[in-house]
Amino acid sequence: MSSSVFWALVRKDLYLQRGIMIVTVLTCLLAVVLTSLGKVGLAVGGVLFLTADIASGIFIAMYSLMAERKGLSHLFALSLPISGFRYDLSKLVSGYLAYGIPWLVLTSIAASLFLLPGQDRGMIVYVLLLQMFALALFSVMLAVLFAVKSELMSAAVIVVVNICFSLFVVDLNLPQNAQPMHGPTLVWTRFAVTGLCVDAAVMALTLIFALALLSRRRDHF
Amino acid sequence: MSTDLPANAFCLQGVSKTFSYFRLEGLNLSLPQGQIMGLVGPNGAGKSTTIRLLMGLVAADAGAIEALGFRIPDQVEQAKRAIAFVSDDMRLFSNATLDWHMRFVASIYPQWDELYARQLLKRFNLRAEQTVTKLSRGEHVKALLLLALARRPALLVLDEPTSGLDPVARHELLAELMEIVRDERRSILFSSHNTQDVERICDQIAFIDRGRLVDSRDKESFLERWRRISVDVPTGVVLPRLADVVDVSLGERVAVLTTDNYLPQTQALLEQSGGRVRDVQRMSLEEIFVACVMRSREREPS
Amino acid sequence: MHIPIQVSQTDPRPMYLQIKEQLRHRIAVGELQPGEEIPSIRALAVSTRVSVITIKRAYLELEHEGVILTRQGRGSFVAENANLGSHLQAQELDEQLTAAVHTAALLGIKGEALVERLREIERDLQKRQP
Repeated sequence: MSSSVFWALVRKDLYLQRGIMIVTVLTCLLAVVLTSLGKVGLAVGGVLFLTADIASGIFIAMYSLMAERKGLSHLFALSLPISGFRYDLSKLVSGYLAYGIPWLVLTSIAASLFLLPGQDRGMIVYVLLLQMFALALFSVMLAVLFAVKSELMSAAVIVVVNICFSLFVVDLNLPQNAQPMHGPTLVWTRFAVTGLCVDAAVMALTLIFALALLSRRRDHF
Repeated sequence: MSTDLPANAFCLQGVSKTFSYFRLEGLNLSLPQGQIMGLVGPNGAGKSTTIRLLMGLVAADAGAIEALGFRIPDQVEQAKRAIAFVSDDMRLFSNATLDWHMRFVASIYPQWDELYARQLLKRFNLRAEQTVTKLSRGEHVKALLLLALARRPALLVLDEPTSGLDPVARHELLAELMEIVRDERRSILFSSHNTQDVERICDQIAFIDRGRLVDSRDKESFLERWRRISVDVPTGVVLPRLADVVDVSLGERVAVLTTDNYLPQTQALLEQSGGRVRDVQRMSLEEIFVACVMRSREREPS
Repeated sequence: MHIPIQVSQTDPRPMYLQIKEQLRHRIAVGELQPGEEIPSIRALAVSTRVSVITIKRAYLELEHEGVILTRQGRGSFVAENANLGSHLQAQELDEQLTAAVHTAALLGIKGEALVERLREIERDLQKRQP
């Protein structure tokens, strides 16, 4: 019975954030279309894609976590037959789903674009590296926002996330890193492999951290 | 847990909770099934904390808590299936309509009474299609109350339910609260600053101040034991020091005594010493509450 | 069986007393017949919006005074007492006179002065309603 309340809350979160999810997917699709329209289109489309990628993460983390706490509707959720821990868990799950579902759609679309004839297959590695980094950053952001209570700190976290992402994109585009990806085959350079492993490790660690934090929490007012 | 409801709607024994800025100590509070308890106390006294402890939102540092026979917090999920909780600082989910919330709550609680919910919409003057963000504060509270009442809870817990309500809405709410205890297996706990409402509909009353339970007993006992006595004190007469006299206000010729245990002999005792009892007044719950708190603060100046 | 009892919180008399008096009055004037069923404690609590404990107190005292009786599982009824009407009316009169004596005492009117005052009022009333 309580698991039905859990999933009802997750579904509720996804329903309330359907706007952000849809806008993210549409924006990124638009970005993808733009990239095929010459050099300017490529640049604009690229920036749009990246912005939507990380902004959606920020919106979802903020909306799903902070808004409910700030708007005091977490009290209403907690009046339902669910424990404080499972409520927090539902927020974690719905956060990952709200970000993850569009993320999956976009990663698939972007990757499969490079499977088209005339495209550099090696760029699939580029897409994967970018997307995995974004996902890892989202994971970190979600965990930190669970741990941090003040609005100031939350805002600071968001700024740092933005900076990290921008720095990574710069790093990714450095000739020595990007060069191997402009080819017909998927080249798994050390840079690429390290990047993916670190991202996976970060996600695992932040998830463990968040779960540990939530299980220790005693007060949910 | 057994299928019949237990004798107590809820029970807190020796409950303590410490925050950095506030402490609730050694709280012993219980309510027999089928009754209404009013929790009265100044702001910051610990009423909300007590309610949050009962609802398992806050974990006690010491003591035992039971609601409808379920241990809190171990069995809090089962307990909340039959308990409805509304606090004045609670809000519904933004960007959804009241109707959406009604469907949401109905899908979780099998006891949801759709017909009753529709009646309440009319009585509280609410429109189901309205988005939550467009509701005024009073309407928001009424919406929360509707969602709580329509699921027919065995225990209703309210934290300042009438704050922000217009007089008509308050009147409607009190009527709905009384309807609940038409069933002797359903109970209500509510905290309120509105001592008039508490005086009217509560069976049990508890006073809380500065993290402690100052007094708790049934309403009629409170009203019967407390009196204000006006005594003429002719010159040369000294009134006896009576036990249970909480406050004495001495004028030149008249004294006003406040007692928390008025007995038939009290008047005789005063007149024996030469005083002339002019008037014995009953006290309103508000006056009793203030006198109680004043006395409690005098005893423990911390 | 709807008995329109109104309890006022601005009335100086306690709530349980208001309920007792209104019930007694209805019995005294015959609106409630001996043996007739009266609302259950909880039903009256709901209709007057007054706590159950107060209604219980009123019913218990009325039962003690022989005005009503409660049969376990069957409800509450007006007592089958033939002289109830006049007995209650006499009781009501005593209560009103007691209140008057108290008020007069506060004003310092007692004894013969009080009786004289009462006679004056009776005369005035008779003049207005021959």
